[in-house]
Amino acid sequence: MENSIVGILGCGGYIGSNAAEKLLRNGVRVIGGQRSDKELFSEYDNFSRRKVDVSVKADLEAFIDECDIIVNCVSPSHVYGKLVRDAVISAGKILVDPSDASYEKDRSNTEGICVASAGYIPGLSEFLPYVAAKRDFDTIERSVVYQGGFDGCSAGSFVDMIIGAGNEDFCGDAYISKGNIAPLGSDIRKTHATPFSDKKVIFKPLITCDSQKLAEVLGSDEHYFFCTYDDMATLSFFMRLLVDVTRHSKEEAADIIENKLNERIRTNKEFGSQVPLAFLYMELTGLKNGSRKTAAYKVCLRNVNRVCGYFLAETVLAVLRDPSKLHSGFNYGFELVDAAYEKRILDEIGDDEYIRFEEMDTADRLSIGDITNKA
Amino acid sequence: MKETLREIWKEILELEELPDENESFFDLGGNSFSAAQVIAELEDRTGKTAEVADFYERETIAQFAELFD
Repeated sequence: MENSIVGILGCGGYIGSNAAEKLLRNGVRVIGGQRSDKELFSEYDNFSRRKVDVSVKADLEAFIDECDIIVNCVSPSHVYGKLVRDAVISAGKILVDPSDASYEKDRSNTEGICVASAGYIPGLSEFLPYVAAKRDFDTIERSVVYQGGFDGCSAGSFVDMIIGAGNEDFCGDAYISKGNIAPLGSDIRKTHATPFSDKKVIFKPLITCDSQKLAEVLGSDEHYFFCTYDDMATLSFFMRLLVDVTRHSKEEAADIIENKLNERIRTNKEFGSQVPLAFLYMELTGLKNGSRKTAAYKVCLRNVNRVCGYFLAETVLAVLRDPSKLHSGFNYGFELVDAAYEKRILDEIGDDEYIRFEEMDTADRLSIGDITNKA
Repeated sequence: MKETLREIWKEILELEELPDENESFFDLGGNSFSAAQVIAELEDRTGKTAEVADFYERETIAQFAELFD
């Protein structure tokens, strides 16, 4: 698919613009779709842009018709995600999506050819443990992922994140035990140290569709995923927003969430004013040649949007290079990306950002019992 | 307040009967998300509020109701 045309809807946004820049740099022909007339990427001959309002059917269909692969970075995705997905599938084109928010919990019935979970979380957070597990372990006994920190995002993305977390695809207070979701309570009054800053944080367990998929491909007996929160007030704020999602329609919930976000920014000077920092910690314990070992990934970023956009572009490049990897239905981005990207990504992050992989003493690994009520 | 809390717990935790005021929220199947749901419902019905963390300090209705004495 070397001469294919990649269309990026939401090309002027945080993630779409980074994905477009990397694809253009790699010589891919890109058409950017955006609502505004804003000039973009004029330095690239392989870029052209179209003014597209995805809510106008003729606009959207005309854009899709020009492209072979459509990358969906339109925000808010809770409003436009499924609209774009259905139009792309109807046209028989390939859809690539940074998130998995526009798909049913049961993905076995996904129509067309869709590549999702190709951003940061989900996406890179699955890709890194996936490549490490394949390279350094014969079997995985336990996998642990936690993510947190603050990184600026638009109000639309924030609303998408909360609505996504409040839907039925997420299962709070749970982990995966031998392929099944099992309850996992944690005492959220406790705070825990991380390798990323001096500040201790609260760990909150949850499981997503991608967590389940990752546990499945790793073959982990136990898989844990935690979101972290700076303090109880922040956790309570997020929990209450999740409740709003369950009590209202998506449209009503979106308005409520945005109003509460603005109110919190207005009344709490600390919220949203921290130095942008996002982190991911991933720890694998398993066997290699009969010996037990543990390895950890530590990812610390100040510009998640760039890394997310670049991983999305890397997914598109993987599809262009070898479309035979795709199958009909739902494809996970992290399974398509070339394992060599793990090293190349170091050239794409800033001087004060890092991705480190290191083996560690299994005795020093994260103690789940300390975080949760699990013995 | 205790009666209101018993009704809300029964509803949110999908219990068949009203809970005893000395039963633990977590023993009845509660978690942090259902705690947030209880608080939202409590606010709607009484105008009074609490924090999710309060459930970990005060696991029973009898203890929780003391917050509003």
